[in-house]
Amino acid sequence: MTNFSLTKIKPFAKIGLVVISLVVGVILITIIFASITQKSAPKKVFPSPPPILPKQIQQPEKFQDQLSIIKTILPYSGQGYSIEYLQPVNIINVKIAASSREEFVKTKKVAEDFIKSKGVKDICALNIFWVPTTNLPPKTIQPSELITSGCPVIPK
Amino acid sequence: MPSRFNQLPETSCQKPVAKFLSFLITCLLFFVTFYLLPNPAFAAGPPNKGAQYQMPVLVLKYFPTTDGVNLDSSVTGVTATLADIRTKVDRITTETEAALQAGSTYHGYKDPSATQDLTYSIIDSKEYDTTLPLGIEVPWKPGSGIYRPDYGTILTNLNICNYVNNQGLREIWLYGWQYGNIEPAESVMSGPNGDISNSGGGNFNMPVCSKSYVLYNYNYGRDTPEAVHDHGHQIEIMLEHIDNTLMQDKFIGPWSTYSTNDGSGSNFHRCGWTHVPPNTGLEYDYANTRFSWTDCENWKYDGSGQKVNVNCSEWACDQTKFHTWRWQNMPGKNNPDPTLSNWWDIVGDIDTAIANHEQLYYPASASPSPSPGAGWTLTFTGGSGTTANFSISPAAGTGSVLIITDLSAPNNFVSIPSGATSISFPNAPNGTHHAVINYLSVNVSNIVDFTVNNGVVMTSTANPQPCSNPVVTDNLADNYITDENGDPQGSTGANIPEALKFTVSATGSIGSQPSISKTMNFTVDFSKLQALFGASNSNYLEGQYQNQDHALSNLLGMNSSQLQKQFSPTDKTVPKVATDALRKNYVNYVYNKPTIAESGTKYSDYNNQDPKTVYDLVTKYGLPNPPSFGGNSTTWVSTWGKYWEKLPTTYNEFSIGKLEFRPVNGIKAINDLKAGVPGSCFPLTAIRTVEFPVPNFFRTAQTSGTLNQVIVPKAVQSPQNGLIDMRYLVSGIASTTTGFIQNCFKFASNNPITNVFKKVVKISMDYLDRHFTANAASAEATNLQYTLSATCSADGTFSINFTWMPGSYPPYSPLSQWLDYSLSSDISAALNTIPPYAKGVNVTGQSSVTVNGFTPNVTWYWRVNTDWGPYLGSWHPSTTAQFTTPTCASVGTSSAGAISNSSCIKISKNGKAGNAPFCAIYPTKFDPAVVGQPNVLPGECKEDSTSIFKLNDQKNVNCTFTFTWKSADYANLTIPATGNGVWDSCTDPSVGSRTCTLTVYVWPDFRIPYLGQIWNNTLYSDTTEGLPTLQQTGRTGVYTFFTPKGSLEYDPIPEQLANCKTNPDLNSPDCQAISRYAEANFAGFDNCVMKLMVTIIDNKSAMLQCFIGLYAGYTKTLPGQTNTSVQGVNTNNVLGVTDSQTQKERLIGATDCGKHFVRDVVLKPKALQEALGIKTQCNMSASAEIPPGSNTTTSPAPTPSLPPPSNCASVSDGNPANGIETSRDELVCYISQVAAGKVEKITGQPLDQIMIRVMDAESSGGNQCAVGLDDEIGIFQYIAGTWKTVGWDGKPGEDSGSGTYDQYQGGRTVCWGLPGADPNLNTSDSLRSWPLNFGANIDGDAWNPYHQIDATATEMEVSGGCPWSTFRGFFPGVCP
Repeated sequence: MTNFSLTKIKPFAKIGLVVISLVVGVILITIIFASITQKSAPKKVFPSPPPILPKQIQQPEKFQDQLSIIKTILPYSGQGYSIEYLQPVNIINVKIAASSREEFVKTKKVAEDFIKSKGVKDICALNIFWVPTTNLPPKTIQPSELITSGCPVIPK
Repeated sequence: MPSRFNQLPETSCQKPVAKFLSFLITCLLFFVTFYLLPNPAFAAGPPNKGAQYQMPVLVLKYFPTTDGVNLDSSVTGVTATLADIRTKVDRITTETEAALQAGSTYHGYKDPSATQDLTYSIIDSKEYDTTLPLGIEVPWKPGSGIYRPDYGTILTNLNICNYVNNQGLREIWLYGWQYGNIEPAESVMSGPNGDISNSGGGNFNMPVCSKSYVLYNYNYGRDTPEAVHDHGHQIEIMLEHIDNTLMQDKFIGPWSTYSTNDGSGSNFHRCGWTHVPPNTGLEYDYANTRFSWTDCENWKYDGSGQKVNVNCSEWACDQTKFHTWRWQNMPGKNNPDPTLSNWWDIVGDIDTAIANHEQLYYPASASPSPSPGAGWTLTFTGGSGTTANFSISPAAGTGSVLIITDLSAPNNFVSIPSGATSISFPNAPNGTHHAVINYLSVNVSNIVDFTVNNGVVMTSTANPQPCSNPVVTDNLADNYITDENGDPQGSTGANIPEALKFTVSATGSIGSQPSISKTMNFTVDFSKLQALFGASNSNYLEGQYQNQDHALSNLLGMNSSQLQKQFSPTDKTVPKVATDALRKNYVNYVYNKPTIAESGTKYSDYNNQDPKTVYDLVTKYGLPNPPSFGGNSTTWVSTWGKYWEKLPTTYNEFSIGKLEFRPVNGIKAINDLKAGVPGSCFPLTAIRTVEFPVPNFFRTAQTSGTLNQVIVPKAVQSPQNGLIDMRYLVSGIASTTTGFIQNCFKFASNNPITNVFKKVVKISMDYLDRHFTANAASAEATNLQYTLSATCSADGTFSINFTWMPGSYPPYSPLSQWLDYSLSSDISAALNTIPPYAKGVNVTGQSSVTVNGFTPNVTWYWRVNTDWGPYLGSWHPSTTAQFTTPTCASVGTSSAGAISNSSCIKISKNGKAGNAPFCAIYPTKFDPAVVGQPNVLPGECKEDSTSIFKLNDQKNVNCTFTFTWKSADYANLTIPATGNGVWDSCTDPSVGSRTCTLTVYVWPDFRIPYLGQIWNNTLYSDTTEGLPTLQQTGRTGVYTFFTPKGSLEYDPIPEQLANCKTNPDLNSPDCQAISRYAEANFAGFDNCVMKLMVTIIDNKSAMLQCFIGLYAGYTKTLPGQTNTSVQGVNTNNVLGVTDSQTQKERLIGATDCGKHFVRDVVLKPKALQEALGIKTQCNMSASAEIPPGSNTTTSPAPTPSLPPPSNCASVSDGNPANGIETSRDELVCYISQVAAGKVEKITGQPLDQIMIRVMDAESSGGNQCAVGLDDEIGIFQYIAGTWKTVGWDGKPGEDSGSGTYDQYQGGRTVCWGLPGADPNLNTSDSLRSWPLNFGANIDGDAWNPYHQIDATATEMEVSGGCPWSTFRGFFPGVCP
């Protein structure tokens, strides 16, 4: 039977301390490295909209006259489209839920006819912004198709 | 003996002669080869037009895959399994094949006997699981890294020439994609004639084989319409290769019509092109419902083919069907036009067509004279008994026969005499037959069907000829062309003689008849005439039944709002038994008149299936016999019943109008006519009559008349057949009241419609042809005329305006000139002896004067007396003229003394002016009394080559008519022995020879069919006219003097009642019919019968007694003059009339409020009006449309679901995970904040508006997570390089978002808070790679839409917007 004395275990204690120190060191290094690595990764951002102070857009001369003809029925929901007056900016948006360019053009024509049927004589003066509301690929709708038929880009 | 030439040296003679001959032959060959042959003018005409072509096809399918299960979307951009994409490609192949074959069937949509010209067959198909090899770079994208597939390598490896040379291959359909670095060519050709294709240029190194072949590169990411679309371009380009001008300017265009003639209103295009149908100007606008005129369905080179009004329903609003429809209208196999080839020759075998110098068009001068069978058009012209009649154009050649193909020889043909232009087939048996002209079985005409029912030839297939079969009617309304004074238009004041208003003089012995004539010209532009009327009124009343989309509507798919609009006021108001009868009449009429314009109209069933013409329906189901109320409808609902509600209740009929020139001789007769003196109006014999066809009037009158029968209070309805037209009114035949007559002339000559007529006429300067003796200058005043004031002045007298030609005795001037007037014909004596009944007015130096105070209802005499003093011997009086004043009561009194015409007729709306389809007039007349006589004289008319609204192929549009007034035509124009006779004045008879003068006015008179009835239906009167009808003074309403035949025949009850009375059997069909009718309509009927049966044993008598009593009451309640529970409001509230008599009356057609008033206020139940917010006024906005969702006519419509309020508040865009909870409206608000008041530099336009539009275009509506094909991101679609330059603030990047184009296309809408996978990981792409520019997964905050707005505003304000492609799209040409 082996009897241990302080004298006898002293060499084992030294080895144990070294081993423990090494383990602790490895852990510390790992923690530090992990910390450094985490700091260098980009963070996710969720920005907030800035304060919005809208201004009225200058519209064509006859805009108010023509707007008054349909203003009472707005907002209006038609088949596949809605007509809205964005009062803070003073513009008319016609939002079209279309799954294709062809459908957009077709629905836009329906909306144009509807607006005219309400008595709007000069639809160009309404300076309508035609807006696709479904996730169509970018640039799916041609610029000319975003303008009211027969009207200039910026009506006078 | 040797030839002498042999003895000659070779160089002395033989060689030069041989060289010369050789030169001549060479020149001749050259001339023939290079000059004659290629020139179509020397071509013999189109080659055989019956050729058909086999079109063998090789299908190549590229389906790259990495796992053998799915298509490699990273290569193709298409996410699908291989199984799915195979199925899709097979379907596209089948559908494309069908579309092409159908498209090659000439007029296949309307000619069931037509067969296809091209027959496609798939001879081989190969599938590859590899990507397409890259070929040449896309020519217009140099350096972009976008390539065409390497067609050359693909086809070389396939040994394509083996297919072409040995298996007749014509086309290769290669299925691939457009994605990544591949941008396919839509079509490429290779062959002996090079690349005639839509490839866009470039050398594809495709093998050149013995014949041409075309490779089409489809994109299976798209679908059949796009594949067929590729063929559309290829066919256009091949045809343009043959004749570019024809295709561009004749078949497609002119292009100018597409750029300038779109928008609202009438329009005309030819056939359109692959991108643009003929009813629109927008590209890819295949579903536009707008109507436009086109001659495409009857296309001829010169545009003379019949025009039809079409919208997208013609091709089911489908792109593929549009291409098919358009191709079917290209001149195809066996087309009858001798000047046109079979254009499918070019598509089917372009090599042969080019080698043969085949043309699309062969000018008529180069085409052969009518040869047997070539280019014949056979037309059914009607039947007589069992004989069917046909016309032949051009005339038949020798040896031709008319064959009825479904009958057996020898009874199935008739020989056609050479040169014949018509032929009859006698003894046709019952059944439907097919007629054709045949020459030696080589040349045949078109096939024409006709039907024999019960031994009577009924009709042929529809053959609409809008203008050429007008109806002649006596219902013509006069429209005199006058100035404001009632004089013929063109005359002014006293400046006569002028056109249409002239004075002639003649000197002759007493009793002689002078021969004087005057010729005048009058110009009419008939292209502007029809626009005065149009058909809008009748179309409205019929509920748009005349629109093609109405005939092809899907009733089952309509909601209540749409159904409300589908059915007309007539439908809603008139009992069904009435509309049934009208529709029966419609079917009978259209079926038996195949030339009527709408015989070609197709009606689909209630489910919008199986469209058929009336002829088709009758052929299939027989004539319609709708079941009576409660009758058996089992068969009906499966046959005619499916179509019944689509059919109109009346039809368009072209009628003959007349332009007449009516002279009136003598000042007294002229003034009497203008003043409305009884008996003065007619007869006015025309010295020239011109006939012209006018469309649509019958329909308008019929429709409004039908409605009037039900709506107008019975008290103001006219009795049956109480027809009165304007001519009748003007003539005064019906009345003895002078006031009525007087006003009528004003009515007929001075109204808004005649005023508009004036816009289309021009009266040229006249020229006087005095065959007798022109009166030289006279010392006495001549040409005495007067004009009576229209009304009495306040003192009860008339004012008269006198005009005359002052006497002349050059070089002297008169000392004085006086106008004398008296109640005595002997003015000189009266002036001296009986004042104050004779007076004189000093008019020295004048030629006119107005004098007041002429008492009414007496005859006055007047003259102009000229004092020449010493020059000519004192006073020289003119001849004495006279006039008679009417009574004041007859003309009314004007307190101000001004002309008033308000007492007659109020016309509430001016006539229209503008463009509308019209008929050019015909060279001969239609009126049976003068049929065949010249209508237009040689040289009078010219073709309006620029008019696109002409409905027929006549050329008489702008016409200057010449007509001559001749004194010899009037027996009473002899030199009288005493007095003036019918002349205005004659000189002293004592010398034996007298000089007489006569003023003549010639009124042009447009006599328009049914216009009187239409006016009656659109006007109202507020005074007593003394009409010989039941019209009541002061009533507003419709005075429908015109009683449409159909509307009065509709009610079967009277006839059934009469039959029942005479039939002892209570169970007879007629008794049962009225019994069912009574049970359905009269609540008290059963009780009444039961009650009477207690005392009357005879059941039938009881039934009849009850029925008669209830039926009488029932009919009287229809107009509802006092029934407040039915439709309508008090007209006094509407029109501001306070007269209590107007209460409860309704106004149809009065256009003060127009159709809106008619529909909303008159026809809708009060409850519905209240629900719709319609007040007792012309509520235009409320009337335009019934609110969506309304499903009842009596209760308010539910509140529709409305979109959210529109403002700048933060609203979720539907994707909370996006990071920024924003919306497109919010972004617009921010744009206005940063850009309002600023200007985009290049365009000078408002920056805010441009930014909004560019944002919407770039990201399809302001989508903050949008990813573009070029790895652009965000609302303004920045690429990495640009963002780094203009948007990045240089701070260390943040991984704010992620997503690739594919992910976005796959539905990923998140771009915030998800790390990784930024667009374009290609770190060698400095322009587009986000990792390269900002680091992996870092994007410089480019996803932030507000940062993009800031950056874009700065950029556009400073350097402009040219980098954005959509900016360039909005403002083409502004960027370099």
